[in-house]
Amino acid sequence: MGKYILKRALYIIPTYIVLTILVYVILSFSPGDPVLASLGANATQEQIAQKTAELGLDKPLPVRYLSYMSGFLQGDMGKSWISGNRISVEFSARIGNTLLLLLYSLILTIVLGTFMGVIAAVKQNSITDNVTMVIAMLMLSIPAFFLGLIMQLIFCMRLKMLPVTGAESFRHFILPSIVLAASRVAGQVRMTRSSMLDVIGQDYIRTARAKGASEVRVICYHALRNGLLPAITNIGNNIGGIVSGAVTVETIFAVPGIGSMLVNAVRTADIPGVMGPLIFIALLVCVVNVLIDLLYAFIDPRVRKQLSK
Amino acid sequence: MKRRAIAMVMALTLAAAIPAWAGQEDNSIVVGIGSEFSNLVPLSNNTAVSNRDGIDIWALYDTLFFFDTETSELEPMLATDYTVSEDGLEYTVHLRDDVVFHNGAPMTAEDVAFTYNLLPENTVIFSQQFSGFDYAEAVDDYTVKIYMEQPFAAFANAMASYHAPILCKSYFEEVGWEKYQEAPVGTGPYKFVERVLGGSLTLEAHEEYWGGAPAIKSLKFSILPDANSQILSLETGEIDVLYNPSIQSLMMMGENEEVQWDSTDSFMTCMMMIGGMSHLGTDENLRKAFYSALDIDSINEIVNYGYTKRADCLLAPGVIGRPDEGSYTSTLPYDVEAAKEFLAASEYDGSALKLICLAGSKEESICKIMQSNLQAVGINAEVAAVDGATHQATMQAGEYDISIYSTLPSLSDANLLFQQFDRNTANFQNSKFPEEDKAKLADLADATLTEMDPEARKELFAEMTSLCNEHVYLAYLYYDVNTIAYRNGLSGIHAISGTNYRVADWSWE
Repeated sequence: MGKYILKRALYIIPTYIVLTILVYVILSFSPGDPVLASLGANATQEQIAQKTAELGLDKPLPVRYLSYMSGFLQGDMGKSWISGNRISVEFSARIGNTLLLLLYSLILTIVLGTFMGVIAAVKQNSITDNVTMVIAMLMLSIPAFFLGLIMQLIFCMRLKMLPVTGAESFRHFILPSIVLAASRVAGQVRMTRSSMLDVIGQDYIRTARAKGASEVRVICYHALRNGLLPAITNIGNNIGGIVSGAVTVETIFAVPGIGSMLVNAVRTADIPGVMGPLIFIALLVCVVNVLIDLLYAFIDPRVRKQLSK
Repeated sequence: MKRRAIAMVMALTLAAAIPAWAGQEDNSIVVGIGSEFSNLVPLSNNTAVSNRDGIDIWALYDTLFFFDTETSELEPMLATDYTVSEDGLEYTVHLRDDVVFHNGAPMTAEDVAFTYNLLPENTVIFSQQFSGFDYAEAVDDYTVKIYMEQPFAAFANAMASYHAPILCKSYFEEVGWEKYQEAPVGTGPYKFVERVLGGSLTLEAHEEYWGGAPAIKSLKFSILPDANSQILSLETGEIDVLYNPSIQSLMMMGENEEVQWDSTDSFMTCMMMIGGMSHLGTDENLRKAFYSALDIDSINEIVNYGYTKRADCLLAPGVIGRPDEGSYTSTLPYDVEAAKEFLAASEYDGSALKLICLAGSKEESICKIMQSNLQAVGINAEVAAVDGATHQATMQAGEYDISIYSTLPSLSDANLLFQQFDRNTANFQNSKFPEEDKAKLADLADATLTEMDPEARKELFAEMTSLCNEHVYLAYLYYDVNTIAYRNGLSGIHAISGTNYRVADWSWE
């Protein structure tokens, strides 16, 4: 088991190297000139040449990449090509807010999505099932910016229960987390419902009922553990979606996170500003997915036995 | 029953924890702004200060002089007066003797000389806004001499620029630029307390401010990128002031008893840029047909709800050095028949002109109106609404016919017109206008730099404007509008044409 964990952890390294190369190359060829973005359209040739040298853009691409990665591995994410500020300073100031947003959204996705999916499966073809699926589809269909606006109008403007914007306290994260989780909940509901229906139809479930076990015990003790396996995999898929959705949510609710930092950097072709957050996000997704795989081994003894061999 | 009780308790808990946005009670103010600050310490890292940051720069710092956009006059600020030698190469500036930095250090001529001697290192703004500057030296504690390599007619206004607020030399020597940027120190009415990157900037009143301690004791700038959230935050009282919201947002706000807003003509001019690869650059009749076909008054009505005015000069009224009305050739009027005649005389081949703009922006609406105006006279046009990076790349490659952009004279001076025809800029060099006229405009632009007589300088700008308007080398749309929205109870607050708001003049009633 220990060897498996180490092997999975080591797989992250080549994935990471390929990812950083791809991102750096794509960004280097993407539209936008950071020199003119910072100097403006009326810059002189001399200023352009000076700024180009200052940003290291006169060097070959491989040299620039290696220079950046060498600094990154020593904790230096470089300086923004637009503002001149250290990326690591801005990154560390913002990452906490994004992680909180991701965490709350993920918890909401897992809890709400799993709960609704289980209920829908247990009450298959009933009104409860149909209503649950309609709610899930609505949450999937409504765009985040629109849902955010509606929630601000209701909960902030009319009911005055929650703040419109900001990230100062837990209350500030309630609406952004709901908006961010909304579209992911639908997928989680459907996945959970589908896998639970599969499991509920199995012979051993029928046996458990025949033995006189209560419905709650049948579902929660016998069915849930197997039914959740595909749903757990879906959590790993959700991470990527939640991170990309965080950009819109951070903008709407003025949460100073790395999502908005990333978008601003992409718009101005500020490669250091993009690389830092992107590398972190990639690492987060990789690590979470490895943890998901390990969780499988923890939950499913068949997987654990196979790995031990 | 139990579930209902739990739900009620939760609702009450949330409701009870509604934040106390004190504002009036504790003499504090929260100002909502649309984006992150570009640079809180001008001249520290060769990064330009965005003109939208005027409101925070003038809260933290003072400049030698202050340009009052309502009177178009330069007023003393940290300096009491200045003299300039006849050849325009030596400025003698006398300073106030009662100014104290936020850290308690007295401001002296050494600080002024230190600040100005940073200019040559800041190439981003140096050549166009402080052209000709050589060096500065402290003569005594309260007198500074500024030496020029060549005269610069707009230098007096440059001394009022947000790019040259006075920095504390001793603080810089103690902490260096990185720490200075983390905790800026100036002489302004407000001193730095805390900054949350991407979130907010909190300042508190500088009680030893030379102009008197401000009435508002705590000032917070809150960054709100989304336009809808800005309006909601103002309406709910989460912010007290909303800085420069768009007219479109204010129109959507509707009637609100607790909020009011003010607007005034801005120094910003919305205009059209011709792409480097475009036929419009070489075909004057096509340019004239294009411009005559545009119903700019309709654009003002539809897009800006009538709050903006058609422009006939790059320089908005009130800008120093702007030629007087009637002293220059006006722009071509909206005339469909004339447009058709110009089009017939042009070499237009029927291909669609590409109008490029940022997707979802006000400029997209303008481009669509322009498209229908052009089609009415027989000019095909397509609107390319793109994202920011693509927009920038397309602009740089010149692969478009027309782009809408807004330009603001950061010195509140006609020097902006010089910048358009500065022969050293890539823009000018790539332009396809006739070489003879390009050279003439460049020569006139150079002359405006060093012409110290204000009337003679105005005549030079009038000549440039006439040439541009006769041949449509510059195509203007309208002078924009500045706005400010605020909650009832605030006094001393109103919209100004520039960006140098004096928050120290605001107070709760």
